[in-house]
Amino acid sequence: MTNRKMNLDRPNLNSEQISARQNFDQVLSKHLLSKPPVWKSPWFWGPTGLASIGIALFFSVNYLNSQNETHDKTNTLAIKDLPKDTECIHPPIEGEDVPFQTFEVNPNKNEEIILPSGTKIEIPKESLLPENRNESVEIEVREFPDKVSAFLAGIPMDYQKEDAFISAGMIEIRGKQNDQVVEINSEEPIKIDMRLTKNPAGFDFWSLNETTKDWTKHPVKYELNHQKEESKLSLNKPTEIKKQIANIDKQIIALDQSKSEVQKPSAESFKIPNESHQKFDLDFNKKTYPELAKFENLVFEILPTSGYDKNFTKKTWSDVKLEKNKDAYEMIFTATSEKLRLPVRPVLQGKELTEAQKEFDLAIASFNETIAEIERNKSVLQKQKEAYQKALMGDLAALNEKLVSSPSDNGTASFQVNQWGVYNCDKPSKYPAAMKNEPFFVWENSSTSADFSQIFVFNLDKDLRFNYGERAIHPISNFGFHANDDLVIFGVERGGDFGICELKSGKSKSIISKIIFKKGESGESVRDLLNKLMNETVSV
Amino acid sequence: MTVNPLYHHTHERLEEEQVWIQQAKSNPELFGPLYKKYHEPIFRYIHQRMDDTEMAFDVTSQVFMKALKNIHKYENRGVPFGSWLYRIAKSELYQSFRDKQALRTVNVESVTLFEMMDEMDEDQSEINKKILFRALGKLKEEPLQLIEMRFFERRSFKEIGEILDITENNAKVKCFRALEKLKKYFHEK
Repeated sequence: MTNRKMNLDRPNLNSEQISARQNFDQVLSKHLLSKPPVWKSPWFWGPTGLASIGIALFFSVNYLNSQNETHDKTNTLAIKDLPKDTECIHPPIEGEDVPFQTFEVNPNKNEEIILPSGTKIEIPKESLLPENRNESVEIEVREFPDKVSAFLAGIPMDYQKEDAFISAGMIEIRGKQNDQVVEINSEEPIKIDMRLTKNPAGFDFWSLNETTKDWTKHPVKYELNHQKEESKLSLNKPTEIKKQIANIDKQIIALDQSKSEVQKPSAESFKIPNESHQKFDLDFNKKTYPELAKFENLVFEILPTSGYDKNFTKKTWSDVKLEKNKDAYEMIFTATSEKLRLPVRPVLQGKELTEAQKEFDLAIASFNETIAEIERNKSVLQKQKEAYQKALMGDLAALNEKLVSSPSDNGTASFQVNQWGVYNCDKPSKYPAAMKNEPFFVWENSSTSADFSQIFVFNLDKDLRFNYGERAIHPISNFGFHANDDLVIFGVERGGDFGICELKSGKSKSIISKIIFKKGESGESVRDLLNKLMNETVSV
Repeated sequence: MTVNPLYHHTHERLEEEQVWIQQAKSNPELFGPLYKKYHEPIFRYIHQRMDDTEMAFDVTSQVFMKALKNIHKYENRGVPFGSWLYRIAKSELYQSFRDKQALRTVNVESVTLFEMMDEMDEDQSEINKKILFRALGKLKEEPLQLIEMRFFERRSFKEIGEILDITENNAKVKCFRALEKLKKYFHEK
């Protein structure tokens, strides 16, 4: 464009000025005046043309139907021939799938499989219904003790479109004979005692519907003291018992410290107003306060509730100014004979407030959950300590009777299955709100943007994975994250290239932003990389 | 600075809009609610690119006349009604530039320039503001349009794609290239 004018800070028209110029009647009358004569209008030619086309179609369809009576049958056959694979479980990274462990069992005997995690699978002798009872049946099992393994296996972890799952343990079990799926006798279900990775309080138990990709509740019984048998240790030496008590004390101190370090989210940091405080709408200079410029619906709340003349709004002031000192704001009202300084803070209203309130509620829920988990673990440790102390006084029987599982042992989920598939101890959690403007995804040290077809956001604080793009319920345009949490974002391009980005908590969700991804190197184990990254990030 | 709130419709609002469209197809007089809803965003889109406010109001009226004339052709096949209107607005706007009735104008706000400096990892200074303003003037029409939509009007890549009739991903790639071009001009002495 050769002829172009550049304007800087041209005054904008406000909505009232624009709406005052709305004149639909004028637009309508001009439109009606510009209409062609009736014989030129589609309304005239439309029915004539449509009638001709209709007659032609009627005859041609009748002709085709009489020539081709098997047409519908062929269509039905084509639908039946569609592949049965629903692609429900689809590993996002080629070559990085979680392998199954395979066990050969005799369908005529009671069999028991114990996995390295301690998970126990009991297969009664009448449970498996293979075609050939004289041949063994292959039982394939894999467990997903952490979010990385569930991710690499491609297990869908969304629930009813709005939620993602926090998992406390998940198992997939399949059975086949000569590559043919073996049915399970519904009268004799397989019994599984799955070791849990978290305390199951507040969690539900689910099975994956591989057709709908959704999860349905499955009956379960939780047992928290399965280690009782293993706990009958040879703790009859006082020195060993004392060592155990010292160890527990250290763990309790560590828990107390981590509890004191968990910061309770404040309404102030989310710019949520306090109803009892006075508020002002102030047209401030966005250039001077770029940190506030991104908020559309901002008002200022006076911090003190008393100690100032509340009737100051009725006075005439010659000047009102906003000043900033470090992170605090102050409003200064000036009149000829008077000056009033009031500390204020920016607060949101309208839609932005609703969004902020939602995020605040999530942050509070996460905070409460963390504290409750610390308390639960502490209570378990204290009971253990009491039992050891009694043992020190000679009550070893009491120790073996009362010793409860350690915090690292969260018990088992006992359930029965008469269908192969994925079973999961989980709790749904809401997806974060989509960012107002989708950010750029950019490769590090490169001027090219990443063309991700799938994005996975691992929220390390909430122990969640949110999925966007292909095979996910949420498109990439819905991308969002909880800005107050530690995150690892993983993007996959269609060609298989992948990138990783770490975002530490407190990254503001700025309106215009870009997220820089470090390119994964070929041959690198994604599992190792993700595990390392997540552990490192957690420890920070 | 305008975020486009109408683009982020709720399901109910979209359904309501579809009813209005169907009604307007059978009776142009029932186009009123659509006019009322989209008048301001379409005007702002045009005025953002034009110097003459009166001319911007005239072009806005032409956009709605054209929409009324062609509404029978509109079908909801992935392109929202708003984006369809923006396509008409873009066409009418460039027609007015070709007819030499209007002057292509780039309206920039200081606050946007400061945000862009942040985005470009440059210091937020008055000198850089001037350099960036000058660099924007050097951009060709296509990258300029993308910068305007993405940074001045804060549209999503999906909406930019719908207005320019390209895919969402293509819009994203093109926006990124436009920003790179702008950075290049910014660093040119």
